[in-house]
Amino acid sequence: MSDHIVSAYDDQLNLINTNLIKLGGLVESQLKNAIKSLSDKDTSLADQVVNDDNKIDDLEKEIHELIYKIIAMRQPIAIDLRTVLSAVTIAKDLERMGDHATNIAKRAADLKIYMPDSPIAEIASMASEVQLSITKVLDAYVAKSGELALEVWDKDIVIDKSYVTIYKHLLRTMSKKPETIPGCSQLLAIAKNIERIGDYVQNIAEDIHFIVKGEVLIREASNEDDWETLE
Amino acid sequence: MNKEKISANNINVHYGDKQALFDINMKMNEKEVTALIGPSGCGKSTFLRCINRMNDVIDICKISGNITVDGHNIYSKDTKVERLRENIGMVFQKPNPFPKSIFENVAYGPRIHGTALDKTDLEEVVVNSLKRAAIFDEVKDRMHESGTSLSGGQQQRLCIARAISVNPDIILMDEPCSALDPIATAKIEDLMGELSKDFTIVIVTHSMQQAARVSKKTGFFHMGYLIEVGPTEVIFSNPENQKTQDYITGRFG
Repeated sequence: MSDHIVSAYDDQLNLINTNLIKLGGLVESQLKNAIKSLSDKDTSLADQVVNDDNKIDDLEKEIHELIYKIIAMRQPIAIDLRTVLSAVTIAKDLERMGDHATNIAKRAADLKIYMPDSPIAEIASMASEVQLSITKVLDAYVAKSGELALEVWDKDIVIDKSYVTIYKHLLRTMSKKPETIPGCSQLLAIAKNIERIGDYVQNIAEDIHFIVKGEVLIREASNEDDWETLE
Repeated sequence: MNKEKISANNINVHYGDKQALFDINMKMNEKEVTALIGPSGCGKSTFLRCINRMNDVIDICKISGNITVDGHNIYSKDTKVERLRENIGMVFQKPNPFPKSIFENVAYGPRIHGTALDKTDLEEVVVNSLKRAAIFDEVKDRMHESGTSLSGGQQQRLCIARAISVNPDIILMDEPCSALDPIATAKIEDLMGELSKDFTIVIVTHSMQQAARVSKKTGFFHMGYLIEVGPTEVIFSNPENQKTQDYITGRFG
């Protein structure tokens, strides 16, 4: 897209853009470190994740201030308006994703509780799927690609399925070995955090579609319900 | 949706060798505000002036195609131009009251067109027109002062009162607020909303925000072509044409 006649307007829009990407990058590394702290039982890394959450909160606030300013000064319309409005929700969603990563780290730091290894491996693999989706959705945002955004949106069903599989696995473990209940409950909550992050990625994909196409995405997720087969 | 009032069909306009408008087809609805936007020289004012045949006075101007008002071709031979302009009033960029009293400014039209029955009727028409133009309260105690003694915004409302005094169907406005401050502009915009209950209004404006605020339908002109026309909310939120989007978002001018 061509530049605005007023270059300061482009500078302001670009700054919002750059900060959103930066925020996305922070969230990516927070999730990565949270999962690593769980897999490696590395409490100091988990503490670092918890402490770093304020960087995300601060950057989100900064983005909101920039958006507030650009609306007051430039009265964006059409694609610019959609970009700016979506930046509000994308920043909010990224911030919530950061909160979930922090939550994972807090649970991972609780080494007093025994956590079985095999579901941890499954959780790590689910998390890497989500990582990939985060990276892709940020790419879609940079490229303003509605197609890539849709691809990411559709991927959420895979993440949801992984969650159901992990849920069942943990349920079986807990019923067979009641002593694992405290640890497995923590892992269950961690898996749920990851699944929620996937949902926020899907929201961002919807925002990108809105920016590019100018209409709200209406899309049905495939409706296979694995929950029915739960024992 | 309101019924169609004005329909321009394949309008081409030449000023000498230079073509100013290319195959313009556009419909405007009754008792609605239609806005024409586009960069300087795009042909929007030329198009506006086709609607009451103001371009007839320019010797080198040649027009082809036709414009119908209520189904009647205003470019047909049997159209009386004076009668047409009585039915289609116009308000210009710069307020242009006659150097006469406020009363006489508004009384002038009904007098020359002979639409007022007598003195009492004329007074009633003047008062009513001033009221409908939302300026009566400000001028009621100074009706015999000169129209030019008013502020810019008041002068423009006086011109609107003058335009509606002969009870036209259509009011054309050519950048009516570009010489006014924001408060006077807001008053005119508010007035347009009120007037559109009774009149069909076509406005040329350089202010896109103004077009977005006052109109129901917007046409975007560029280099003599009507690039896109549609509901104002669509034009300003999700236009179909890339040129429209670039123009309204300030990407070219």
